[in-house]
Amino acid sequence: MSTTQLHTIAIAGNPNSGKTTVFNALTGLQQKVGNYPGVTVEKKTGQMTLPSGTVEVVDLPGLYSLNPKSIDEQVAFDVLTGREKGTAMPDGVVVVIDASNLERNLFLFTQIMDLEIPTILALNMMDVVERRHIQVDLDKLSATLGVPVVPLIAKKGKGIEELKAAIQHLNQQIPPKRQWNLHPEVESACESLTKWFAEHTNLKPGACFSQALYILTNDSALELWGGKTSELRERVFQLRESLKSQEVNWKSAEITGRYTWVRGICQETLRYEVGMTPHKSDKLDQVLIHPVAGPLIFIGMMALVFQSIYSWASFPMDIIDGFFGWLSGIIHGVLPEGVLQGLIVDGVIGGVGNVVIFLPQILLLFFFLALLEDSGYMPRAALMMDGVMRKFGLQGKAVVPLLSSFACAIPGIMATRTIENQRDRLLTILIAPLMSCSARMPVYVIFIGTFIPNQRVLGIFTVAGLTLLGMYLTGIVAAILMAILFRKWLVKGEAPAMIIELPSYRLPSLKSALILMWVQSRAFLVNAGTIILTLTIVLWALATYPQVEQYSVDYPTQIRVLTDQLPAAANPDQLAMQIQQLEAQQAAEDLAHSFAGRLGKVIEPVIEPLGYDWKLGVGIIAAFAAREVMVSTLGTIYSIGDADEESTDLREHLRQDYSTLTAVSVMVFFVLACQCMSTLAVVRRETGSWKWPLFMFGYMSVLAYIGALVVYQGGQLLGWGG
Amino acid sequence: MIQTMPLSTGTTGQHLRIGAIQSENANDMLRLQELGFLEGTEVQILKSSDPMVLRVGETRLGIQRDLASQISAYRLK
Ligand SMILES: Nc1nc2c(ncn2[C@@H]2O[C@H](COP(=O)(O)OP(=O)(O)OP(=O)(O)O)[C@@H](O)[C@H]2O)c(=O)[nH]1
Ligand SMILES: [Mg+2]
Repeated sequence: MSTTQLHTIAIAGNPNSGKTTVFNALTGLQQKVGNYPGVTVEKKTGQMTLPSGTVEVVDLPGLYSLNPKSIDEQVAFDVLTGREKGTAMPDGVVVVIDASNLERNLFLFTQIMDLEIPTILALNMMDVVERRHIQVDLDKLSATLGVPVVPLIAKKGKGIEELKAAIQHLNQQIPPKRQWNLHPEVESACESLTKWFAEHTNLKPGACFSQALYILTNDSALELWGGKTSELRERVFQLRESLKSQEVNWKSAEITGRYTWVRGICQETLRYEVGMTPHKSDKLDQVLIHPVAGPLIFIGMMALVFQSIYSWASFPMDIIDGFFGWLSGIIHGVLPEGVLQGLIVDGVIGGVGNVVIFLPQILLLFFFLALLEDSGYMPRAALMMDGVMRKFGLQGKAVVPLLSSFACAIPGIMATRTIENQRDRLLTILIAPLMSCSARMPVYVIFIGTFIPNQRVLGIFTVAGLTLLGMYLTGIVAAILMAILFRKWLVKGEAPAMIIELPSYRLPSLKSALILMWVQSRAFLVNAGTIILTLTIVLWALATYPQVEQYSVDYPTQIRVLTDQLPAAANPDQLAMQIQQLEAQQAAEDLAHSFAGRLGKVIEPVIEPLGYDWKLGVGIIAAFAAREVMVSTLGTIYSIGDADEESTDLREHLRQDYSTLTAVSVMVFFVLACQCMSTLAVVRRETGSWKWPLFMFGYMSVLAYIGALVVYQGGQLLGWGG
Repeated sequence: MIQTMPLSTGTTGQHLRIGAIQSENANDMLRLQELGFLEGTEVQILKSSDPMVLRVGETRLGIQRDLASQISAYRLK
């Protein structure tokens, strides 16, 4: 018996079988879980403590089979077969399977078993099995397969201790030999190919055999292993020819062989106590994916989500707003007037505070997305949208990445890994940043809140809420137009046929939604406290220095003179007003003299046609580092230029300076522009070159400029400029 | 002789058995087989408009009608 040390174990299994839930339970981490196939698209590692020591645990993307067809499957495949460079093959595998769908899940299990790595079968979703009155004979299953079987309800943490105990003994396992049968001719053909794998890979003997089988029966597997050695290719083609001449169906030999074995096992180990009952999900689907009702429900739901984001958030926002007002009041009292006070009140509170106010909105957005992702609705949305998406050169599978992009384009772009066709994937990546992400929310809300009336329409909606929805729709329409264009000129070709699994609906878990919100708010606040804070301080400095040495009018003296007259004045109100005016003029001169002001003047001719002044211009440029900085920049600039020290209300200032048309033009610019370094970095990583991120940045900038120009100039022509 | 028909012509609620799969696309065919679409397997049509929804064992799949038309099927019994 070989008792090797257990260093690394991998968690593998069908998509959506609960692998990440198990991973989180084992490691105490909080990786993302959701009720649709393809939540995990890259490998994640964590640590687990056993009495014998620490073990590294690797969570993998889901697989339908060991014939990878998409990038996420490829990642899992590479780890399991030791193809991943610099990573050793795992010492053990926990195969998490959905026990309520035993047959299909066991199919993959037999493939993983053939790798001859010590394996545990974790039978997850035992609660579902029980609810459907299905009996599973665990002992028989374990005896037949020759591996330990651990029943789990991972979501409730049930069975995790038993799983840990089984993992503890994993290194003593002798992997069982293959038990299913192949057509004898195919079998002997494979044996002659097995030698190549034994010579060229680190795979175990059994695994060499199964890989030989894959390259014999499957072209993409052949390409994967033998793309370069034409010798291997030739051998395979010869063998296929000879099988064909003997009228052996080599193509489906492997799959049929496995399924035949698995179906036998299922018959012996499963007992349906009340027969196969129709699922509640099927009844729900009669409405939710109904050709007419389905899409209507989808649209209505989205409208409701944006309305609630807009209206529910106002109360917590007021509280945060009040808090910052109170804080700057206190700082005014405590700190002496000067640079430090300016930095804290104008820079930090005026800037970062104005961004943090939008935390409630962002959290609500994440909350609704979590509900959608956890309920099982996402793949249905993909299903219903497939036909429409195809008209635009996309496909249904693009829906999940695009919906995720409403939270943030980065996970959205990662999620495109589930799209099998590489051209479709690229197309989806290119348009994903046009979906309005949560970082745009502060910009939308501040301008909508300032300029758009909160009038009720249609009972539950308001003009403001619908305008918010309108911004999202603008992004979607732009994405559609770009997709059509790109498909025509750039990434030609037809989208492949859709095959998508629809999981059972599940009641979304409030707990996991709350955890997600917690993780997100932490990320948001860290971001506000680091990147946004730094940028805001830099901007504050740029807007404060250099200071004016010689004003055009001697404001300080004049103000002092007037202030001295104030107590004895006959008309104090008029005098106070005069003082305020002088202060405002001084502040304006200060700003205009500063670096930011001068920069603004330089770019003014470029942005003037869009209806922007230099302050918006500086904000937009700063926002290319991070979108939220737009709001903090405006907050800082106005705070510095603020004559009345007590008021920090950004909205008041915006209303004085700009028209509604300018506000819409700014929002449209933000819908369309790619103002996010991290997105570009992820696109670079996912496409493997700088070509596509640069292209993305270029086309979106042009689009944003043209979009804003059309809005502003068009609006003026129509006489809405006022 | 059993009468075969393209799977895409089935109606909602119907139970059918899979005959041959003649997809031009090797990957699609593989994917379907891996999900349990094998000759002789029973499927139920849950939604017959495009895209179709099929039940194979405990798996519910949405597939495009185009693809379903490349799968032949026959009535149970
Ligand atoms: N009823 C039930 N649901 C579970 C159980 N374990 C996990 N789930 C749910 O199953 C869904 C899928 O869980 P994940 O852990 O994301 O599955 P995964 O295998 O990592 O999925 P992919 O990363 O997409 O391959 C989630 O909605 C979980 O809440 C369980 O024991 N019972
Ligand atoms: Mg996962």
